[in-house]
Amino acid sequence: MNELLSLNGITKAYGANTVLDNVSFQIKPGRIVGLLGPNGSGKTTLIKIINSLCTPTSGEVLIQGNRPGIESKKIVSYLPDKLYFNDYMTVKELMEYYMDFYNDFNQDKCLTLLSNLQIDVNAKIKTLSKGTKEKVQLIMVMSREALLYVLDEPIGGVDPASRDYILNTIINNYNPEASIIISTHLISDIETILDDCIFLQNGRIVVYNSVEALRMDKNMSIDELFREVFRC
Amino acid sequence: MAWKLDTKKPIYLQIMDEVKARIVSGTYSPGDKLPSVRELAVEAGVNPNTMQKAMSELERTGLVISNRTQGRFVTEDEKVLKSIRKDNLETVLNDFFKTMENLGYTREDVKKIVKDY
Amino acid sequence: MLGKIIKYDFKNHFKMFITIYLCVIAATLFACGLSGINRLLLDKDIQVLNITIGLLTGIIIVAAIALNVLTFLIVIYNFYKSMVTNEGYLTNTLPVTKTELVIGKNIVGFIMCIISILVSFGCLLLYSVCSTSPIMKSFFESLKNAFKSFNMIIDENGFSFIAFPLILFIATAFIQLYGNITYGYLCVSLGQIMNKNKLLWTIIFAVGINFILQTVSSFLVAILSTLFININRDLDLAVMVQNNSLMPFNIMFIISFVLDLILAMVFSIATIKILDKKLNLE
Repeated sequence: MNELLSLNGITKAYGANTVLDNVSFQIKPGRIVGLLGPNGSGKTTLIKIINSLCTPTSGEVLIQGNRPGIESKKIVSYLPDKLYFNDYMTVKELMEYYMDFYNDFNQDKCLTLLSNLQIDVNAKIKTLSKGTKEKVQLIMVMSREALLYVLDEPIGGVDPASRDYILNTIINNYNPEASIIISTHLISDIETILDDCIFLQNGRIVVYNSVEALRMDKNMSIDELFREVFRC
Repeated sequence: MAWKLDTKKPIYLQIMDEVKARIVSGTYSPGDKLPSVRELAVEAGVNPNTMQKAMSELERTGLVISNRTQGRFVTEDEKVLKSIRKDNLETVLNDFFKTMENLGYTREDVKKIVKDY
Repeated sequence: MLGKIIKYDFKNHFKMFITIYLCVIAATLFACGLSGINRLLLDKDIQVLNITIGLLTGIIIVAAIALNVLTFLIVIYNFYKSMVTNEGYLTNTLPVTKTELVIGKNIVGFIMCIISILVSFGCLLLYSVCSTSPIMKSFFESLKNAFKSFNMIIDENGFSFIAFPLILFIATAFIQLYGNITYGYLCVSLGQIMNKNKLLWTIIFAVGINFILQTVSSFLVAILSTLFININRDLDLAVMVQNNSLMPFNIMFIISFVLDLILAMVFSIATIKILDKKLNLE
C-alpha cells in the first residue's frame, strides 16, 4: 500500500446535519490534487479531519498508513484559510518557531521566498498588510519539506503577480514523494498545475479524475466543468 | 510568463505542439539539450507530471531523444525533422485554404492570388 | 517538546507582563521617593503631601491586588487565544500531544502567577518600609510582629515544629494556585465545545463549577478532618503550642493538599481529553 493519504467511509454529522457522507478516496505520492466544491460542500470539514482538528463520526483516515496523530503531523504541512498568527511575533521569530517544532523546515528556502516576495524578516507580523500576512503564512508552510501539503485557499487574497510566483514555487517544489491538496475557488488560475481534481457536493464526492482525462472527455476546462456540475 | 494554454483541451497535447514549434522555428536546434522537465514546467506554468507526459510522448514520436544520465535532446534525425516540418506545413495550408474558402474564394482563385503575391 | 512549549508560552506571556511589572515597580519607587520627601516635610510639620501619599498608597494597594487578579485572567485568556481562536490552527497542528500542550501551559500559567505574587508583595513590602502612610506603617509593624512570634515559637519549640506546617502551608497555597489555573483551562475547553459565544460559555462553566466545588470541598475537608481530629478540642492554637504539636493543623493541611492535588489532576486530564476529542475550532 503506497497511498500517502487514504480516506475510508468518512462521515461527519453534527446532530441531524450530515456534512460529510461516506467519503472515500486515496491519494498517491507525487500528485497535485484540487479539492473543489462550493461553500458548504464539506471541504473545510474534510481538511480539518485530515489535520486532526476534527474527529469524524465514522470512517478512517490514514496518512502513510497511520491514523492522524503526532507522526502524521510531522509530515503534513497545513495552510488554513485563516490567519493564525500570534501578532506579537516578528517574521523571524515565527520562522524560528517553525524551525523549533518541525525537523523538516528548510530555513534557506524560507529566507529565499521571503526575500523574493520582499518581506522584511524583522517586521512585526502585526504591522503587515493582510495580503502580506497570507504570503508569510504560505511561505512558512511551503518551506517545510513535508510529504503532504494541505493548502486551503492559498492564493485567495494575493495579488496576481505574487499569485504567479506562488504557483511557480509550488511547481518548483514538486517532489515525486510528496503530494499537495489545494482547496480553492480560483479554479481557472490553478487548473494547469493540477494532476487530479475532486469535486465535493453536499458532503459527497461527485467527481474524482485526472484533469487531462476530464478535458479530453468533456471538451471543457475544469473551471467550466465546475460551473456545469454546480450550476445554481 | 506562463505559456498561453487553452484549458479546454488536454494540456499535454498543447505542450507537445509548442515544443514542436520551437524545434521547427530553430529555438531548439537539432541536437540541442532541452531544459529539464521541472524547468519547462515552471516556465509553462504546468504540472510537472503533465510536462513529463508530453515529453514522453515526444520521445515516442522520435522527435526527442532521452539519454538517461544526461537528459533530453532534440533529435538530429533529418527524416523525423522533415516530417515534422511537413506536418506543420500541411496544417498551416489546410487552415489557410479553409479560411479562404470561408471568405468565398475557390481553390483556383487562391492559387492565382498566391502566384501573383 | 514540552520544554519548547514552555519556552514559547513563557516568552509570549513575559513580553506582555514585563511592561506591567516595570510600571508597578516604577510606581512603587515613585511612591517611595515621594514618601521620602514627605518625611522631610513632616519633620518640619508641613502636612501638604499627606493627601497625595494617602491616594498613592490606595493606588499601590489596589494595583498589587489587581496585578494578581489580572495575571490569572490573562493567563486563562492566553490559553483560550492560543488553543481555541484562529491561533489554534497553528497550536493544534504542531507535532505535540495535547498532554504536552496542557501541562506546559499549566506550568507557565503557574509560574506567571508566582512571579506576580512576588512582584506585588515585594512592592508592598518595599513601600511599607519607606512609607509615611499610617496604613503601610501598621502593615509593616504586623509583618515585624509576625516575624517576632515566629522566632519565639522556633526558640521555644524548635524549628522543625514550625517548619512542617510552614512547608505544608506553602505547598497547599501552591497547589491551590495550580488548581485554579487547571480549573480555568478546563472551563475554556468546555466553553469551546459550544459553537457560539465560546467565551461566554467559558464564564458560565466557570461560575457553575466553582459553585459546586466550593460547596463540595468545604464539606469534604470538614468531614474528613473530623475523622482525624475533634475540631473544637484540637484546633485551638494555644492548646497545640502547649502540647508541642501542630499535628491537627498539619493534618488539615495535608487533607486539603491531597484533595486539591487530585482536583488539579482531574481538571488537567479532563481538559486534555476534551481538547483531544472535542476540539471545535471555528
